[in-house]
Amino acid sequence: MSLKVGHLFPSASELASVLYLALSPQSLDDKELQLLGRTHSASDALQTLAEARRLFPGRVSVDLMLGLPAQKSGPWLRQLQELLGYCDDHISLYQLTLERGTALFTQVQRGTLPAPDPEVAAEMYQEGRALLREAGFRQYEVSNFARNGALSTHNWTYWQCGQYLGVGPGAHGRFVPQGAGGNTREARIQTLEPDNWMKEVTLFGHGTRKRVPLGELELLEEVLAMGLRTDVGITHQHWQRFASQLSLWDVFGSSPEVKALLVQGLLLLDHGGLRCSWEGLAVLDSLLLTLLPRLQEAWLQRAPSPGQGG
Amino acid sequence: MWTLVGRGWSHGRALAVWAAGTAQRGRLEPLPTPTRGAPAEFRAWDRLYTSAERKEKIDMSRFSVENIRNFSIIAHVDHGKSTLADRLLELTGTIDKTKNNKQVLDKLQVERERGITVKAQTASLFYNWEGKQYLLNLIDTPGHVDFSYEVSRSLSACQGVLLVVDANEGIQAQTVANFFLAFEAQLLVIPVINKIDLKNADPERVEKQIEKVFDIPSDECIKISAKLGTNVERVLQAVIERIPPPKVHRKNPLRALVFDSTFDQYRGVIANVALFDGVVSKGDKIVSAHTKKIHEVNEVGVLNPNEQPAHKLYAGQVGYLIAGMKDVTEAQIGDTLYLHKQPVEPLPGFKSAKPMVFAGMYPIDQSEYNNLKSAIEKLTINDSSVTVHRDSSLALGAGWRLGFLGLLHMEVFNQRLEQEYNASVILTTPTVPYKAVLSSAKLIKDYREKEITIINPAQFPEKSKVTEYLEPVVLGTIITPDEYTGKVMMLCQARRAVQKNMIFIDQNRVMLKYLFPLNEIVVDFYDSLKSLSSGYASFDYEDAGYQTAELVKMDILLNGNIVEELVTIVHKDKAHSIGKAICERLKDSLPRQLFEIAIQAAIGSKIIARETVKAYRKNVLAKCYGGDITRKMKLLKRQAEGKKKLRKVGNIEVPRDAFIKVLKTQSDK
Repeated sequence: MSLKVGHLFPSASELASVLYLALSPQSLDDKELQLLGRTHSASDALQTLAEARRLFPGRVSVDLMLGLPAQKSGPWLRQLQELLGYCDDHISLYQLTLERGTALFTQVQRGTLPAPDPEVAAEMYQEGRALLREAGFRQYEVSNFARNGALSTHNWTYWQCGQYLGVGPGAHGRFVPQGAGGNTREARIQTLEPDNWMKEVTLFGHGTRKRVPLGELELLEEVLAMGLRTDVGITHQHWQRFASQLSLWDVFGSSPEVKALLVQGLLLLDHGGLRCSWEGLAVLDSLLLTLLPRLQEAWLQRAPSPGQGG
Repeated sequence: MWTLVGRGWSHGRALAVWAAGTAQRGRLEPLPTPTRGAPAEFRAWDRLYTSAERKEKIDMSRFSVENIRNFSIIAHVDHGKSTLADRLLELTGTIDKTKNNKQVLDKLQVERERGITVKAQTASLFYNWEGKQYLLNLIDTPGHVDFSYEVSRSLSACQGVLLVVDANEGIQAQTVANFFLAFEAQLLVIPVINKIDLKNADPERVEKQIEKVFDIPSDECIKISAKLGTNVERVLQAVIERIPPPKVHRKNPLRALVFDSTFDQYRGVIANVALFDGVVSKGDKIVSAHTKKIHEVNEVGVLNPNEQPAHKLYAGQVGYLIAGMKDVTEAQIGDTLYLHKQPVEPLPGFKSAKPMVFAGMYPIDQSEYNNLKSAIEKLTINDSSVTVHRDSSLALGAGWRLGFLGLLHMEVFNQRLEQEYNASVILTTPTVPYKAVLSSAKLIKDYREKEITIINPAQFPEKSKVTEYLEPVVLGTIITPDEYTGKVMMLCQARRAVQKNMIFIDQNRVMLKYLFPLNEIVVDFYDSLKSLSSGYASFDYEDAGYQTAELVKMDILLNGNIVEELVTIVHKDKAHSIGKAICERLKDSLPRQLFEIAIQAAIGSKIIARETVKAYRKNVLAKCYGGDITRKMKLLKRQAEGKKKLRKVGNIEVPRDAFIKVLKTQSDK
């Protein structure tokens, strides 16, 4: 559990400014929890969830993982169904990615655990999102579902390429450092190691390790890749804030490869902007492999801007 | 051990197992095993030992023809040919007996690994017996009958052979094959049973085999131990007593057989010759019957075993000749040399090297092209029997189609490329030269002949334009312990072979002769045979011409689009199994796409096999928050770059790797 509620929190008022609370039980199956190396049980999780809802009604999110080794579709859907009985208005579904260096990765490599089956995972995802849709949730992003408007505005900033400051060891940020006189958006990373970070902050007043200015094309690429993760996609207005010279039509309107995707029903390009269809969202990363080169091409061929700087 | 120091190192390696000119490089002290990049250290030796001017020329005229014997040693692999040769050299004082002449042969790594007999150099030995001095010319032959042509040319310079048979193993496939070559050349065969010192030796049994299979009385067998030297002198005496001197005429105009040639980077081509008629010496102008080019002789001599220059070489003698030739193709095996303005009837049996097996060779990456090109050039300098054509594949880029004398030839070549030149190659499935007899007047005009050889499947003429298709066939000899006979016969039948003969060579072993389509054995027949017989069966084959065959061109399609790189020519009966195998391999190596892929193997419009690659239903990063974004963007952009390089068949992306997996030879050695 990423957060333990209950007697650790002296009073609700101290947490009044908390925007939302994310609980990551990750699974409601005791065996799976063991597999994942979690120290809590399913009933612990549900109990905590109930407590959290009491303290922060309407602002509690729950994570569930799919595609675990040896996981079967049926039982997992039942977990999800069960969760619907306890959850608040926000759920995240995450497919497991095995990261090198984790215990799970080693176990799968050794053969102690079977490798997750991507087919089964795909099925779980499709069924899961359909289930949530029926239960009144809006899938507003690849992995995030909300009802009654309980979107995570925090995360929305990422996908809409808003500005955000990352503070803390290893934190990422994206913003224009206007205070320092800059006018280009930068990608910043803070020093990774906590001890070093604290030392630097004490000595220099900040823990920023790296700053990379983002070129206009790079920024557009991020807008495209992040924006398409959401259900609304990229509206024409949104796009225009970043690409004053090129409209979505200019970039994607006449490409035969993009047309093929539109015809296949994976992508939509209309007065509402560019977005994925229900099916397309699930295979977004493949679509991006067609869209990104197309964007690059259009960018390089664009009409020179009348005296505007990059 | 031949303590030859003789010819220079040509580009570091002069040991080609397959015939075309090898001089065994040796020194007077045992050498460390040559490693890659060794050439430079041996250059110094060249200068010291090959400078002919330092040696006195010997007079070869003193050997009258009756005192000359030309013979060869033939045997199955590892039966003791080289050891026997060592002993003969010691006995005749050619090499010093006190030096520890172990069999520290200058073997190439590949030869050691495969246990192939190293082609030692031809040597002239002087031997005194019963008051006379004899000149015994030991002419060596390659160990494997992939090179039967080379063997036959070497044998044509002889009047007799020593047929060495292991006292425990007995007659093996190459014993038989080599015997028949000698028999066809009408040579006198002296059977020598070797390794009698070993515990499991059973010379009597082998004698009976020899009598049965070769019809040679057992009392003619000489039982020896080459390792210990037991009875070896008896062999020399038998050579003198039983093998006739050559029937030659010193007074006739020169007629010399080239039975071997090597390229030396300092001295040019050195040809091993056997004189059938006449005399040759420095200054003579000679002509090659094959190329018709004229060359002036710089040097002649004998091999003793070092190069020993002579004033002249006479009819009936064997030695070497250097005549300013620049390329081994100017002195091809089997060629006849004669004096300018005195043409003679060329010696029979000359053939231009005929490749039996073709393989595509491509660099792993196009950036390696030049490296591979130079490696192939260097290896083929000393091997005129490898045919080289430039070729290109849509999938694999620019490369070559090489022709080899056989599968072993090809495998050794490939291994040498990797080991000596550090060249990694993609070797595509070997193909054989099919033929077609054309019926279409237009095509006959285009090709300028009626019968064409098809090397590249893309050239396959369609049925309506052809009278018949032909495939090369070979006569294979298998010797196996009786308990595996059934399995062996099944294997042969599965390879479309027709049995020609079956006899018991003793109580335990059977010899089978089958006519095989060459195509059926080039890929993994030998391995399958070995594996089903626990390694006991032996196999050899010889060219047996062509036979009519029902060949078809098989296409591979992806979602209805033909993949040009994967067109193959197959026999009608095998089309389904080969088609299925290719479809399966493709299915495993094609990455999934946004739509389903139908893989099909087809002959004309008829689909004979299919597999499907399902579309993927999910391909999107689950979590994409602050810290993930940079990493994800990098990954996406890299993937997009990679995609650009992919070959597209229709709208299906096919990575190069997928082609390689389908096209390369499947045997993992």
